[in-house]
Amino acid sequence: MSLKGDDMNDNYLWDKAGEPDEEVQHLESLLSEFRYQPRPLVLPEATPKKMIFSYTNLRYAAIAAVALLALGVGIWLSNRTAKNMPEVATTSPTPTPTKALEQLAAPTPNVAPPTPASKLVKQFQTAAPKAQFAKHSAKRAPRKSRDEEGEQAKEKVLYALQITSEKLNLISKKIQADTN
Amino acid sequence: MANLMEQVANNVFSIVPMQAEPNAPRSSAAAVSHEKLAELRLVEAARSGDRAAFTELYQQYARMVHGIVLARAPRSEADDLVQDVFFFAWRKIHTLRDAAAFGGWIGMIARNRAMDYHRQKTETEELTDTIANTLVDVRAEKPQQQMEAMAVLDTIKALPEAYRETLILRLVEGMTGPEIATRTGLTPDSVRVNLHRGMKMLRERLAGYAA
Repeated sequence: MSLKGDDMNDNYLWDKAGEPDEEVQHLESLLSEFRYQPRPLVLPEATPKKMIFSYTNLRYAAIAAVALLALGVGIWLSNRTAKNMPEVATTSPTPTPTKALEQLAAPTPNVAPPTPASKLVKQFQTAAPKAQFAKHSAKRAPRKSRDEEGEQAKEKVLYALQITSEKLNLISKKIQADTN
Repeated sequence: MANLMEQVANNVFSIVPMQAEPNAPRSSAAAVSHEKLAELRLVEAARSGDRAAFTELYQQYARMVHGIVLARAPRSEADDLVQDVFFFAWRKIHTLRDAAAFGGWIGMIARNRAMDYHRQKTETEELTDTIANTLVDVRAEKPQQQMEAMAVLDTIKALPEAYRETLILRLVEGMTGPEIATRTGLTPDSVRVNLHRGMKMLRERLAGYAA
């Protein structure tokens, strides 16, 4: 303590030992009228709740963790099998009949042969709808297989949940038996 | 539970003699550890719903809680606030993890409750002229000594928080420095410094009023 050497003797102030400090004594007697007057404690009838972290709660937490783990594993497995399944590739779509009719109905050019620039424009005009079509069909084709995968995954998750719930039932029965 | 209590007892017995001052008699250190152990048992019992144990804790800590509340709220409200604090503590004692921290925990509840009181008061009631006049009248009726006491209490309440609380516990509640440290969970050094500096500041302010 750095209080040593100070002109004030605070031993009495500290633990009422040593030579009494008159000023402190005066303040004590003056302020004693505000001192706590003992009163009986009035408590409600209901007892407080038990501790949050009991062993039973810990057991339930462990069961919940196991259930979550099982669910996670189920989802992961279903995703894994879905990835391994072969995908149906659709790169070159067949032209639609309307497109073919449009091409037939178009007038044949009887003017000068096309320049390289006009060839490029034509290629672009014909390629653009094809690309769009390919995009749509690529989306459409695997939808079926994805639905199947989804169904499989759903079945697996449901199966995992069934197993987990059965395990939970067993564990809760054991806990009840232990507590009884 | 018994093993836990034994472990706590061993820890208390092994720590307290090291913390005690070198000149302090060994029997007093043992008495402190016995007291602490008994308190731990009371807290454990209160946590499991033992009313008698909680009532005993109330008897031990009511003075400290009263002092903490008095440092922040009007003295006319202090007694009711003490009851409120223990009522709240009884409902929430299951949330107290460390039984040894009961003093600090209930001290914090008392501080929060006193601040809540102020917040509610400022929201609902303003000091009107009538109330102010009534207060002046009441003061006028009091004898000289009571007036002086109220003035000193007001001066202490105007000191910085750490000094005000420690000085009220010492001068109003009559607790010693080591007792304040044990109950509040502060270190004895902190309490000693707060008492010393607070008393110095109080002396200066009271001398200023007298002049």
